[in-house]
Amino acid sequence: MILPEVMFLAAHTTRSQAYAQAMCKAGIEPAMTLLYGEEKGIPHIKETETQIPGLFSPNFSEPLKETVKRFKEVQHVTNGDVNGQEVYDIVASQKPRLLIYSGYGGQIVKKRILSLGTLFLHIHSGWLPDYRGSTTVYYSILKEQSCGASAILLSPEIDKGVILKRKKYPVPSREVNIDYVYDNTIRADLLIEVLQMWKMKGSFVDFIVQKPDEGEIYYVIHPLLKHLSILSLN
Amino acid sequence: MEAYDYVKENLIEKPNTYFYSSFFGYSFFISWRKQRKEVYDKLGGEASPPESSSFYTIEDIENMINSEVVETGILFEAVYGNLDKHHIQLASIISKLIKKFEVSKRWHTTYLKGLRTTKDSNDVWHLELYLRAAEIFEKVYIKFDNLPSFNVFLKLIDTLCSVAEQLDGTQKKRLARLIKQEEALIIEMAHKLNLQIV
Repeated sequence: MILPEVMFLAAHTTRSQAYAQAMCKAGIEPAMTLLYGEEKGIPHIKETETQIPGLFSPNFSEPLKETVKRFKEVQHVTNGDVNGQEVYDIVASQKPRLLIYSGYGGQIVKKRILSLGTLFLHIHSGWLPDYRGSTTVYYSILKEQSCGASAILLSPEIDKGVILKRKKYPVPSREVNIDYVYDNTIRADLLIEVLQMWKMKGSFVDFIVQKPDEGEIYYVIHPLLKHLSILSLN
Repeated sequence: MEAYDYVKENLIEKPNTYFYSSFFGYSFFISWRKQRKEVYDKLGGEASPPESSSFYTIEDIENMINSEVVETGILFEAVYGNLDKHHIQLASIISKLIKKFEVSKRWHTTYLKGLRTTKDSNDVWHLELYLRAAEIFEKVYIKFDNLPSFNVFLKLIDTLCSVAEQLDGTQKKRLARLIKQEEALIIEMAHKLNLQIV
């Protein structure tokens, strides 16, 4: 089923691969897809690192551009800057109501493009507002042996937009690759649930507004803490 | 066994992003302890924990942050000295300091009002700041079990180990104590997680 007025803005990343494949599996197709940036090599992921019971496992050996061939409207721009003029012009001209955001790590979506009137849907791999920032899967394993994901609408401040849906997930086994597989898989799972909500209602009617001072901001985890986090898993 | 290679280069000159760090299993802790011991053995003994009294009040700290030029060294002394008494009032300043370091992995000698970074990028070599910051975040983690502070502490120990030869005698002894403290805190966390890493 095609979701009208929905755009998938996808960088060439494993996250975009997970999102695209999960949408195909769920029979959901964004009306427009915009791939941006240069194609990059895919990290080598062993099959044993991809087994997460109960969740759809993306096939990371399938290139993104192959997956999105199943979608009808696909455009490409080579500029990998989400705030660049090319991406801006396309979003401004297409005027989607909802944009599924899957950008490059470390890029902050600026006010200029966020002000176009399109809702930027972002899935964060942490339970908000408790776990804001980066590598929060590892921190939440360390703190409470649990993981979560949150669907939010992007705001200029990192991870502070309104929360549309949150979901807890079982922690992965020690063998699973957390950075590329688990993180992207739980995000893709929640994305599908949120898109199904959008498909049913055509808007987001229930959401939680985050208070500015709630929760903690985490930054890229130090390798020692990362090792403790992974080794604490079964 | 993979070497602990997070201190191979001068981390003030070439900061590490720690992005997508690899997983090596239990042997990683052996490499880490070996690397730290190599540094520790050259430091000439440990200093006592620093004293924590401060001439500055919590109001002074707020005024410092809002002055046109923030003297980082004085700010750190004031924060360290007030951690025992005024930790709740210091929470937002600690968060700002965490962000400052995590974004650039450096400390500037001065900042502009509100801790904005100056355009002068050459004033990041005052090693006393890195030592004092490590002592601040060590204390914040121990007192409040605050993981973001521990994360900064660990990165600061990497940074200090990477420039250990440039420290003076007293500073070396302070680093030696911090290295031992880092080891104890990691082992303690491992025990809480039922992990035997040594």
